[in-house]
Parts: sequence; structure tokens; C-alpha cells
Amino acid sequence: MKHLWKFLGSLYLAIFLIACAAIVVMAGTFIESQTGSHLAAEKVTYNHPFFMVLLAGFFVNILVSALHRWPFKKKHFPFLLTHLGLLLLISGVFLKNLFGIQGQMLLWEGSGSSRLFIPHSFAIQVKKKHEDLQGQIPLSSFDPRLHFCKELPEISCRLVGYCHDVKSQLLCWSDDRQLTLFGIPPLTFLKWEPQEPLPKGIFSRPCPFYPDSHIYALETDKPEALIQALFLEETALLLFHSSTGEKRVIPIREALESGISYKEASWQIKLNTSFTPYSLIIENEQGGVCYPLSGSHALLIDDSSSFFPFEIDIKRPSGTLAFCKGEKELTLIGIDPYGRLYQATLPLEKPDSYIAYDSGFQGYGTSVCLPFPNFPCGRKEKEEAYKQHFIKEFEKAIFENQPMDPELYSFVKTCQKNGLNPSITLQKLLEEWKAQGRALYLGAIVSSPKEDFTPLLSYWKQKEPLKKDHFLKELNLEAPLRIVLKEKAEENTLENQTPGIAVLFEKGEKRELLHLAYDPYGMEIKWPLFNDYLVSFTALQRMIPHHLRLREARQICYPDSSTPERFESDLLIKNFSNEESFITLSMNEVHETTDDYRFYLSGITSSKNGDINHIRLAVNKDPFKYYLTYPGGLFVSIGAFMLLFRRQKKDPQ
Amino acid sequence: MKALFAFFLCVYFLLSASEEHFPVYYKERLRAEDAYASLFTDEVFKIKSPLGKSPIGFLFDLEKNAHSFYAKSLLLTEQGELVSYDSLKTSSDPLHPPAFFLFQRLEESAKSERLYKKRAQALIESRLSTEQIALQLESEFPFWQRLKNASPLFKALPGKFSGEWFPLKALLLKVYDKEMRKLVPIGNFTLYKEASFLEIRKTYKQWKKGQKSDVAIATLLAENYKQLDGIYTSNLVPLPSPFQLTLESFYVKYPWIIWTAVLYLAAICFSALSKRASFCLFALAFCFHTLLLFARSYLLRRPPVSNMFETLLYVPWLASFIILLYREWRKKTYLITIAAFLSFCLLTLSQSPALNQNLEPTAPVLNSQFWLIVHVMLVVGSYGFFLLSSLAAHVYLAASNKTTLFSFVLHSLYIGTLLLIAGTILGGVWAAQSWGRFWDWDPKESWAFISSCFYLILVHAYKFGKIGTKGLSIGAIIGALLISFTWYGVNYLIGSGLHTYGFGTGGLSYYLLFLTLEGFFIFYAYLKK
Repeated sequence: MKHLWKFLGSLYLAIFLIACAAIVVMAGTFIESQTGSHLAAEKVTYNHPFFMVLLAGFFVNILVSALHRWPFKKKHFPFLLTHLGLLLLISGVFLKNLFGIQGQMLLWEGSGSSRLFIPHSFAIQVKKKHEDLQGQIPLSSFDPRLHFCKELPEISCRLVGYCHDVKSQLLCWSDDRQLTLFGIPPLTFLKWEPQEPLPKGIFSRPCPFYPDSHIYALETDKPEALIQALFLEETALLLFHSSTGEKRVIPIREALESGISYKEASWQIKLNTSFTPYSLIIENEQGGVCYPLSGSHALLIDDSSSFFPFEIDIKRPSGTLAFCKGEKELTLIGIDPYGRLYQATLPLEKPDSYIAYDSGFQGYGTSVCLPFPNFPCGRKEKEEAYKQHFIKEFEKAIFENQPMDPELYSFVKTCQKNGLNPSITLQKLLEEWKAQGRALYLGAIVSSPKEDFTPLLSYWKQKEPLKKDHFLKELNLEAPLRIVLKEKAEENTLENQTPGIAVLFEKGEKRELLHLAYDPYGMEIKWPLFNDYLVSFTALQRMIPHHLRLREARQICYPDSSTPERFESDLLIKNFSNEESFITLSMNEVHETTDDYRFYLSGITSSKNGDINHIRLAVNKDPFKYYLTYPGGLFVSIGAFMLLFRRQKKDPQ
Repeated sequence: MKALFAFFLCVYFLLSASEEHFPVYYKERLRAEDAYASLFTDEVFKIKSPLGKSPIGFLFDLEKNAHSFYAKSLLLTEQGELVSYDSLKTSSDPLHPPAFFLFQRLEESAKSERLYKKRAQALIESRLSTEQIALQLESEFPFWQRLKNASPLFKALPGKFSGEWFPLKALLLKVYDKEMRKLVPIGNFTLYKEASFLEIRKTYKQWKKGQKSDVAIATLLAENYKQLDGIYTSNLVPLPSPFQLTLESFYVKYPWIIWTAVLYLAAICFSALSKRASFCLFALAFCFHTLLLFARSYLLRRPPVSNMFETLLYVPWLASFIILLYREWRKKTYLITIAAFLSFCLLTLSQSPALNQNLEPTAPVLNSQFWLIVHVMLVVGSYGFFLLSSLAAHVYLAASNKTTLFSFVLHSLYIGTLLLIAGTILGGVWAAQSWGRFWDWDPKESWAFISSCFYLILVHAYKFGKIGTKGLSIGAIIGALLISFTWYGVNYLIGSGLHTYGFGTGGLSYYLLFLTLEGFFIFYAYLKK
């Protein structure tokens, strides 16, 4: 026992421990230099249990060697002070690691949060949709046991797969491999060549925006061919002869191949998908008519001449939504069950607008109008709507004595110029319209030359009645900020890797497998689970009693140069009692709250495309600093100073 | 002491009596015009005295009549040939030297001014209101842009509102006057008073025509510059005092570091002949050294320890200072020689072309006077002690067994350890301030820890009698090797972590040679009885 006591306080042990620590640290720096990763070095050296044991050994050694000098005399003071300082220093660092907080916070300009993320830790966040109920499942390592969520006891999960690094762009709404839409699981982009059949089964997904619709994600450099292929899929032409009442249904492929014949005459059908408005062209030797499929006049023939005797309708069993990835842009193609075609181009690299919710989604969003209304809106319904609107407008002008629209006014003028009575002409026009049973066409009135009614036509064209509200449904696309698609080099350093996990979630009888990529600061899209929950794979999260909102982050440069002089950020900070204060943080200028939280600006990054900056805040709470670590450092310095001075006097050799 | 005082007084009077300077904004700082000129010509033309002129004379000529320079042979291409701008302009070689771009910019700004005049004339002749003309001109040729781009040379006029500095050539700009309905010379866009501005403009025009000398325009600008005190407010680019300008010009003009190094070398050489002469030379070298170090920190308004080059100046200065400070050791010539040797070596190293010797502002993270002084000066100061201790240990092991020498080894080692530990802990406090954590095993931190550990072992082992004087001396040498790695190796070989301000590459083979030689020496000392 005495031997052990002596050994614990001995100089040899001290030297051995110091040497070991020095060698471990030395190895650590070389590993860091080789791998380029501080994290990798940390794992095998400084954070290794062995190193912790060394530090604990230090503590014991210093303590025991100090106790060896018991009973203390005056001459021991410098020695004791130095070693007490060291003890304080070590215990301060230890206690901070155990009870202190060291976290990171990421804020975009405009966003606010009171969530702190503990770096290099892992957890699954589960949130109940539409409710403020949120839970966290900490993951210390890859552990395939069943994990339960404390806050949401009905959910449990099991890790079934793990990978060190998923490509960091996995979570973008369109990347090299998959398409991500807000609210549905991601979809893989498939290569598609013209003439190939469209992918079926698991490669297309039911579209949540419209019943019976499907979503495709395809990669091709010929979007026109894709539009054509999508359109031809299961589409049929409905032909109706208004005078004889004859009805025909012809699949469109057949119609394109063999044309349509009626009595003596026959017509060729062509599909134009190379320029807008997309249209079906019906022609023979005498001429042709155009049946537009896109634009505000989709499904309405511009010409009512008796060239083609049928009324045309298009019928499809369901709508289709396709994302077509080209070299530079993403084309969204929508076809509704009536054959109306819609196309929008979304840039792959330059986002539309930036959206930041309160500590929720932060990213770019864009909204596209899709021809997916919630009610029937084929040709007939649309014509009826137009007619109603037209009549209403006329009535308003004439009976309610409201000021005449310029277009209506020009209609009246045109009538007068042609020697017609405007009101009689109008009546005639409406009668004709009713008799025809179809939309108002150019030249519907026999007695007037075509051109004169152009203003009238443009009148309702311009008004485009009921456009947004009734015919088109808005689809919101939201994407996390990284949309850039560049070739990416392999990430070697641990810091830059994004681990991924496959988790099997269980809730009662239900099971669902999700692949989640690590999103340390919880900035990306959350995945839906069992329709009621949203999950994400983030760092361990901790709420702090302060809410921070970033107002502005700026990098101040020297005039006429891009060399930064300093970094600054303005923040609004709200504490637990809801008192709000305004602070400005910069490097070397920290903010400390009354309850020992300290906020440091550790970095500003501006996204390349736009002007949205984000900052990284280091947040820590280290109440022991002022009682242990700093006084310890002071004691060590003073003690060592005294030791050296005394020695100088005492033993000059 | 008196001699030292007299020396600095002399320097001060010499400086105050010399001609006045005006500042030019270049690379984030206001510099004295000749300091600017020599930096500019060095960076752009890579020639010390272009066309046989002094840099400032050359730049004045260029400012006066740039077009006559286009055809002259003065561009040094990558292949080392001298060619003219005109001949390069037509070639398809994409690797043009910076001088080519300078001429290109000069040409472009002249061209854009011609376009402006032409456009203004056309608009004046058109049937537009004066308001429309002014707006149209402003939209096509924004005034701010014109001021800024008037010339890439001599940004010497302080802007009225922005704290930005504008080129002298902006004085020649014409602007459209709504009342006169024609182009008139530019009004006062500077912080100077109206009368002074008009005088500067007049003199500048006369100077351009050759009616006034270079000195006249320089003096006028320097005189007016003195008015700025009090009305100029820009925290980004602080205003140097006239004395600072003179000092900067003086600092840049002569190769002070080389002279200092040569004086140290002379002190080493004379140590064998005459102790007194050696000491005098050493003292003189130290005066020079002090002067250049203080000049540097006075000009940059911060302690001279924020990059590799500056630490290479600071460490030998501190070493020399320590030697001079202690009366007891000053008499020992070998200590003087040791300090002179250390200073000579480090100052020579500082002349390596890989190091940036220019006067530059610091990186944002280092932007704290207090911590620079407290942390960096302590830690880097400890390097001085350790290196001195190591050199003394060499002498002690190789040649003499004097106890005074050994006690010097021991004491400088003690003080070094003290400074290193205190400085490192304070560094942790600073890191807690600016990086948000006290300690995180950053390579620099790690190596400071390793060196401290080594010295702690050494001190303990010696104190408890486990090693003797020889062991401690060998330890001092090994410790200095660790310190050299902390200082150089972390920045140049490991090259990762947060202490990025002093990073660089190169010199590995020399460093390995140095380590090998030291290894042999330690081996030799170990075997020696």
C-alpha cells in the first residue's frame, strides 16, 4: 500500500504520463496532417479513452505528489500553488466536458432558432405533424437494437443499415440521382431515350396532388420527345359530330398513324410538341385547323369553319406529372386527364426565392401552376365558363350602365363602322353562340368580316377569366439550399463526410423503412413517416432558454478590395422571460448572457448564388471557467514564476 | 543607454527634417507615395528601377503620359523578355504579365472618358431637357464608377462621403453641368476645402503639361493632407500621420534587415579580434533592429507578431534584448556572439523570397491588439529564450564547461517554459473568446502542449537530480528542435488547424538537413566525456 502510494506520487510516473501524453498528441497532429481531418485524429487520440485515463492519471499523480509534502511548510507554497493550479485546470476541463455545453448553431439570415446542435453526435428527430410534439432518439454509435422515442412512446426504430458517406447532395430536390419533392419520398432519376417505353411500377409514384396521377422522374436531353411519349400514353380522341350525333373513340396512336376519315374526306393528325402552344394539327389538302393543348386557349379550336366536322375531346384515364432533367434545367411536364398540357422550366442552379420558417425549413422554394383542378374541367366545362363570363360582362356594361371596357367599346365601334346596330349584333352573336353550342369563335357572325371582331376576341382573351382560381392548381416545390449540380470529388476527410443510415420505424403494426442522410444542423427537408410524423437525422439537439434570430450577417472588406477586415452579425436575442435585446457579434466580440451562455461568431458563409448569408455560432456554457480553469491557469503561471525565482536565489549551483 | 537615446533622437530629427510625403491607397492601406511606388513597380513590373528611374519618378512619368509608354520595352514576360505593350496587345499569348493589365486598364479608362465626352456632346445637341441629359449620362456612365476607374494609379484623393480614395486622374474628369448646359471640369469630390481642391486641380493640370515639377505636386498634396486630421472618419483605413508617412518611406527605401544582419555578422567576426569592437557592432545592430521593429509596429499599429516574417524579426530582437538587458551576462562576449549568431541566422531566414515582407493589415481573427500582445508575444517570446538556451547549450557541450554558461542555459530555459505555459493558457482564454472553445487540440495547441510537456519533464528531471548539466543541455537542444517544429513545422509541414495566418510551404529539405545536423551533434555530445 505504501509502495503504491509512493508510486502514485512519484516523479517517474509523472514523467511517464507526460511523455505518453506528448507522444499521443504528437501522433494526433501527424494523423491530422495525413488525413487532413481533425476529427479522425481526435477519434484515435484525444478522444480515446486511453487519453482520458492519462489525464486522470495526471490528476491523481499531481494530487498524491502534493500530499507527499504533508505537512505543508511555507517553502512548499510555490510548489503547491503550481500543482493546485494544474489540478484546477484539469478538473475545469473535465467538468466542462461532463456538465458544460458546447454546441453549434446555424442560422440563415432571417431565420431564428433556439436549438443547439452538439457537433459530431447523432440523433433521429421525430416530430408529429401539425402538433408541437417533438422527440429525439440519440444514437451513440451504430446500434441495431430497438430504440424508443421518449417523448413519442408509440414510435420505435431499429437501425438496419449504415454508410459512412452519402453524397451530400442526396437531399436536394433534384440531383444526379434522385428527385425530391416536399412531402413525398424521393424518386430516382432514370435515364430515358426516345422510343423507349416509359418506366412503370416502382419507378413512378402516385402523385399526392391529384387523384390517379403519376409522377415520373426522367433524365433526357430531348424533352419534346418525352412530352410526346407521355401524351401518347393511354390517350384517346373523342370525336362527336354535332349534327348527326355520331360518336367515335380512337386511341391517339392509331389516329396519328392512320388519320381520321369521315365519308369521302380524310384528315391527317399531327402532334406538335416542339414549340408552344403544343397542339394537335388536323389537316388535309384543303388546309388545317389547330387544336391547342397548352396555353390559355387549350382545348378550344380557333376556327369554326366546317373544315372538320367533329368536335374533339381528349380523354385520358389519369393525369401525369413528369420531371425531366436536362443538362441545365429541370422541365416539369404536367398533363391533365383532359389532355391539357403544361410545361415549366425550373433552373437547376439558380433558385427562385428563399424561404425561412421559424426554425423550420430553410431553403429555396418555387411554385408552379399545374393544370390539375379539383373539379371536371374538360373542353365543355371550360366553354361554359367562358360563355357565362362573357354574358356577364356584356350585361354589366349594358344594363348596369357601368363604364364600357375599351374592348367592348371597340366592339360597339366596329359594329357602327359596319353599319350594324350594336345591340342587335350582340343579340345575334349570343344566339349564334347558343346555337353552335360551343365557344365563341372568330367569325361566328356571318354578316361581319372576320377581322372586325378581333378586338372582341382579344377582349376575353385578355381577361382570361377564372384562370388561376379554377383551372390551375398551385404546386409548391421547396428545396434545401444546395441545388448546385457539379461533379464532386470524393470526400476523404471525416468532417466532410455525410453518414447515412437506414432505419426501420415501427408503430404498432405499421413498419416503414427510411434512408436518412446526416444533416447535422437540421437544415434540410424532413421526411414523412406513417403520414403523421416527420423525421430527420441530425446531431444531438438541445434546447436553450434563448431564442436567436439572425437579422444580418456581413463581411466588411477594405475599400476597393475583397480582403475582409472583419465579420459581423446582428442578432435579436430573446431570453426565457421574453425580453428581447439586439446584439452584434463579431470575431473577438462575444455575447454572454446572465445565465452563463456565451455566443461566438465562428463563421460566415455566403451562398454562391445569391446574397443569403448564413452564420455558424459556437455556443457554450461553461460555468466552471471562472472558478476552475482560469484561476488554475493563473495559479500555474504565478506558481511556476515563484518556483523559478526562488531557485535562482537558493541554489546557484 | 545615452548612446542609444542619442541614436534614436538622431533618427527622429533626420526623419522630421526630410521631405514631406502624401499617402496613396494601395492594397488595404494608405502608404507613403514612394513606398507605394516601390511596392507597385515591384509587384507589377518586377523591376526595381524601371527605365533607370526611381520607382516614384517612373510612376509619375507613367501618370503624366501613359500613352508614350505603350510602345516602350518595359514589360517583363514570363520568359524574362522585355517587350512593349503594343506588341503584346496583338499577340494571342494568354499569359500576360500584370504590367500588361495595368496598361490595358489605363487605356480603357482613357477610352471610356473619350466615350463619355462624345456621348455628352451628342446628348447636348439633341432635343432633351438638361435633367434628362444628366440622368441619361448618369445611367450610362455612373459618376462613382468614373471616379473609381479614372486610373489604376495613385489613389491619393480622399472621397467626400465614402471613406474611399480616388485616383489623381479623377481631377481631369469633366462632368455635365445642368445650368451651363455643357461639360465643365469636375467639382470638389474630395474632403479637402474648395480652395485647396481648386489649387490641386490646377497644379495637377499644369504638372501634366510639364509646367510644374514632380516635387511641386507632391508637396501640395502633402500639405493638403495635413488638413484631413479631424474631418476624415474611416475606421477601415486609418489615417497615417505625416510622421508615419515619412517613417514608412524611410523604412521601405533601404534594406534595413540586410544591414542589420550584416552588422550582426560583423559582430560575430570581430568577437575573435576585439571584444569591445564586437560589442559596439552588436549594440549598433541592435539599434537598427529595434528601429526597424518599432517602425514596423508603429506603421501597422499593432505588435509585429502576426505572420512568419514578423516573428522572424521579433524573436532575434528579443534574444538580443535579453542578452543586453542583463549586466551580468553582457560582459561575456560569447553570449553576445551567441545572440548575434541567432539574430543573423533568423534575419537571413526572414529574407527568404517565400515570405511576404510587405506592410499588410492583419487577418480578421487576429484583430485584437490586447491578445496579440499578451498571447502571441509571450509564446513567440518564449521561442527566443529556448533558441538562445539551445545555442548556449551547444557551446557549453562543445567547447567550454563554464558554469555561467550553464546557468544561462538553465535560466533561459526556465523563463522560456514559464512564458510558453502562461502564453499557451492565455491563448486558450483568447480561443475561448474568438473561436468559442478553450482547448481543442489544434496542431499549434498540440505542439505547444508537447513542447511544454518536454520542458516540464526536463525541469523535473533536473530538479530531482535525475539528469545532470550535460543531460539538461542536450535536453535544451532537443527542446529547441521541438520548438522549431512548433514554430515552423506546424505552419509549413502539418499545415492544418486554425492558426492559418502563418501558413506556407517549402523549406522541408533545409529543415531536414538542420534536424540531421542537430542529431549528429546530440550524438557527439552524448558520447563526449
